[in-house]
Amino acid sequence: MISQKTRVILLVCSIILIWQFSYFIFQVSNPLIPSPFQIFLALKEVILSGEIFPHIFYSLKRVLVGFFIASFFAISLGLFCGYSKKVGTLLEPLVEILRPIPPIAWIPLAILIFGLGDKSSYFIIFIGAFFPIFTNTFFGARSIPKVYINLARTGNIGIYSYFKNILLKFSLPYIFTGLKIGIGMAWMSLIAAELIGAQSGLGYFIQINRLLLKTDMIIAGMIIIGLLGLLLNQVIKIIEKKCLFWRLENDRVD
Amino acid sequence: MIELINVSYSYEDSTNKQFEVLKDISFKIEDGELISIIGPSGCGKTTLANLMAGYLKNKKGKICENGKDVVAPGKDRFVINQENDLFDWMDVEENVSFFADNKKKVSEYIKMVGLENCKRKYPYELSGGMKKRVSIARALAANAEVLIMDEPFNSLDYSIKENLYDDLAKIWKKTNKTIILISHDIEEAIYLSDRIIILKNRPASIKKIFNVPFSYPRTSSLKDSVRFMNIEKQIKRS
Repeated sequence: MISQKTRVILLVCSIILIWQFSYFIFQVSNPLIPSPFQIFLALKEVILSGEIFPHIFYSLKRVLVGFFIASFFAISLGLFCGYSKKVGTLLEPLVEILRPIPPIAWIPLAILIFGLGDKSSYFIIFIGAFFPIFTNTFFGARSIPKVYINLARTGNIGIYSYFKNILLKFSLPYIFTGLKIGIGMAWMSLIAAELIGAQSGLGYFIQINRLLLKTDMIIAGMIIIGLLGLLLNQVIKIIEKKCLFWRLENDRVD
Repeated sequence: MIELINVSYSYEDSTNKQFEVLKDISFKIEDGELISIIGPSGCGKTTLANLMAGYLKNKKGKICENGKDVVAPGKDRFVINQENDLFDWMDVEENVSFFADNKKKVSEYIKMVGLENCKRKYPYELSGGMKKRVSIARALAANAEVLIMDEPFNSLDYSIKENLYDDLAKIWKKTNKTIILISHDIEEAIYLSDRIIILKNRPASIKKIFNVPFSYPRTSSLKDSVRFMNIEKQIKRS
């Protein structure tokens, strides 16, 4: 039997091979359509010259800062809305109106208010990551079983301890579902924000190479964007596993 | 001592109609007594337990503990629930010590319920019977005077139940707690209790209060005796 991993690698290799072969067979002369080999060379170049690293650094910095701010507010607000029925029913319609607005639709406003630069990126990432994290946290906190609420009342443990030791811990599996969706949304929103309103970062990198008509560089940038997005998701999954060791494998939420 | 005086309770349904669950319930529970409340499913036993725990408001009548009105939940009346009520993210020791005032006594109570080798285990690693033992240890560690057990043995296997009955009786005699056992299992109620309160259905009110004449410690062979079966018959007929 071939393992799942080898299968994926085989699939990727064969796609690249088919692409490379068709490139030879059809004698593609359009300089804007690169072959896999040219892309490989472009990747090698940007990595060896070190040109790409500042862009990776800025993008990661922005996404992490924006994501942490979004997580902090989304989790706190989600828990609070789940805890208090009054606040929950008050804020839910507001969230439902704001949620369908795609993060990129906020870009014009963000640029006007925050200018071109990190601040507007943080804002766009915040918008992208906030809603999935908030909705999942809210849903989790709201579904806390009555027995836990009653026990907390019996123990008279105080609101701080209730949030920290019971509500947060109970909602954690839901929160992680939100964080996994949120980090993906944050990454996508960031690249979109950088395409339009930044002077550095991976989104800016592919945008500037469009002006230079370097499609091999564009695709190399896209590959790096994809790989880093995957990496971010994996990091959250590892943290999740560490934090949720007390759950049975078969009753995970996702 | 817990005393209920003419306690009634009604729910309001979605059409604002009053739906009476409990009607004029009065009884007294002495300190250190193990009393069972039995009745058909859905007759309001759990509502009665929730009232005594202080979870529900707007009752009619009076519930007193040692002469004081019960107005809110408190650690002196600790509920052990039918479903899993342990915090899944805490191990056995953390669960037991969470509500404890005196953390030094935690080990003692874990040992009392026979789980001294499972201190570091998490609820998902425990069987249903073991989880109930942890719940009992947690209530003891919280220094509760009254344990309100709301059908705690419901979802357990027969052999596990048997063990738990005997251990509960031992713990009860050792700690001298007051135990209120909500149940629909007549055999279980006779085997464990000093007295049995039998409720009738809709709205629940007291049909009969029954004294169980057997002395402690009781052994499972008691259940095969003619006297035991006669009592069971009487309760069923009443």
